Amino acid sequence: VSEAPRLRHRALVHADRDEFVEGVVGWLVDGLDAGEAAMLVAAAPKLAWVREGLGGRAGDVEHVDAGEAPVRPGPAYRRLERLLAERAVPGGPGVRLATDRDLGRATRASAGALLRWEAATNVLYEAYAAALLCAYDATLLSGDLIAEARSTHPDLWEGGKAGPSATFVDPAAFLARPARPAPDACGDRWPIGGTADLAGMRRRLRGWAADAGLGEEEIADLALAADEIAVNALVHGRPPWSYALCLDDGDAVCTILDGGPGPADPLLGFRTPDRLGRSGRGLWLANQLCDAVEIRAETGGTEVALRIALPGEA
Amino acid sequence: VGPAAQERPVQAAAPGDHLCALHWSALQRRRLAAAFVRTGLAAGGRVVLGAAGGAPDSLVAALERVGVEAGAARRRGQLVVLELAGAGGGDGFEPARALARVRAAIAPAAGEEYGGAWIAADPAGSAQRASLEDLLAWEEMVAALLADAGAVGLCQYDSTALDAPARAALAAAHTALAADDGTRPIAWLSAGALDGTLRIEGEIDRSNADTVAGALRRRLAGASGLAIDLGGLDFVDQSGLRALLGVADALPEGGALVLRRAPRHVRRLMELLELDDPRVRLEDV
Repeated sequence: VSEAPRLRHRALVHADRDEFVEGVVGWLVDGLDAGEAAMLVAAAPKLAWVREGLGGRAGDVEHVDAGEAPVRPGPAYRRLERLLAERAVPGGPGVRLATDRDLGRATRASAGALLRWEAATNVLYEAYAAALLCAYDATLLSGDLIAEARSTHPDLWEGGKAGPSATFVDPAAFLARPARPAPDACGDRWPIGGTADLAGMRRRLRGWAADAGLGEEEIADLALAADEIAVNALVHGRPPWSYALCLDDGDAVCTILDGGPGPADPLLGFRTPDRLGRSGRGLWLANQLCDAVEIRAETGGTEVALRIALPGEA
Repeated sequence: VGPAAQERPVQAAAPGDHLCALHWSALQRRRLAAAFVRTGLAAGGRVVLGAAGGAPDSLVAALERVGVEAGAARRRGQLVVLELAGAGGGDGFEPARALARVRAAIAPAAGEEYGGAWIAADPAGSAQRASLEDLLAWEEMVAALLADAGAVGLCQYDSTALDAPARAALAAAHTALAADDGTRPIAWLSAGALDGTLRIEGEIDRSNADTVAGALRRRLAGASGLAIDLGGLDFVDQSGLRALLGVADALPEGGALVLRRAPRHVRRLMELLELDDPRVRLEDV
């Protein structure tokens, strides 16, 4: 009989293959012993490492090949939410999941965005009967990212020891931290006077993004995200409204500015909106369409930076 | 005209609207007419122009010069140019006869091929000797016709040829004064040549979602279902998608909304928003 359903969320910070296998296998075996459904999501080589480590119990764990392509955070967490809704119902036997956060292939902004999702995870999925382990490679990721992993997971496995993370930060407080500074290489700022200017903004964005080398589907995604965030700014924000386009840190970036204070709820954009709800979908949709959505609210107004990685950068 | 008179952009005109424009220059008149014709054509309406005394060809050419595809619209019958004066054989303005010509010209607009009628007329310009009584009688009949047919009307008058009381009387005979908000259509509705399926081309966003939704509901009017060809739709956002799918709410019991040739971006947005309405069917042809 499992404990009362409550999300468990652990970061595995590993320095080598042995630590990775030890941390993941221990986590999965604990779940199997408790009667939970165990699942591992990783690229093929790491699946093989863990299968070997599990030995005779490998057959009891579901192995999911994560592939080689970098993961866009928004859709990945939507898939996780669907999985939890289906299998981790409160009162059920529970789900034991281990996921390799293979951020070595992600752009800096996308990795930052993923860690914000990790912070949100503690609130969004708290009611599910699930135990989530997220593995971070300390040899591959920057010290800042590893520090953020410790801050966004209440539970930590590091150097062979498991326990509460001493530097865990309240998720709302973590998400309220301003995103890193906006790209300063952004050139012209174009005004948005009203919804009649949206078509012109999209036209300019498409031409610019095509010149920058973005693929057709990514251009459509970025244009839609920019449109939705501009509509949000026009409806919920304050004048003056404007946008800019620039290349920064391997990303095609569109920033939307308005003179308002920005969204009050730090989880807006992370929480899947009620199907019938009309508000808060723009930001959530942008998170599904882009590699990173960065909000910076300052005294003079709010800036939302929408990023999609350029080909070959991610 | 007093400052209290209500203004409405021709771009936002609704069925039954009877708009009055009192222009002070030919340029002002042409610009407003162009905005009105552009709006009507984009909505897939049948557009009828009561010519201002000039030759129909030169009116069409003037519209072409400001970027309205008037020639092509006229060739396919979507744009009709009428000479309102001389309807009775002489060169005078006879309201009843002029109205009969307009009524006949908009009759096809009631069919499936069109999304309503847009009528712009310059009755005074087409008959120099028209009296204020004749003009007011004409306006009264036009108002009834517009309400009856669910059409949009724009009456253009040369302010320099009218005194202040006449201008006030004419303005009072309309629902609002016409304005131009400067926007151009980004979506075009039309009936396909083959099977009459409604086609939407261009883009639907927050700026025109309500207009498109209104046009779609008019198309549906009473029918058991509606098929829309989206093959030429280049962009749609959440508000645009709601405008499209909102038609389903107006369907009668058992009716279907069929979306044909929905582009990848439309399907993608429907998937992301998990919009799977059993009344909405996607078809590839």
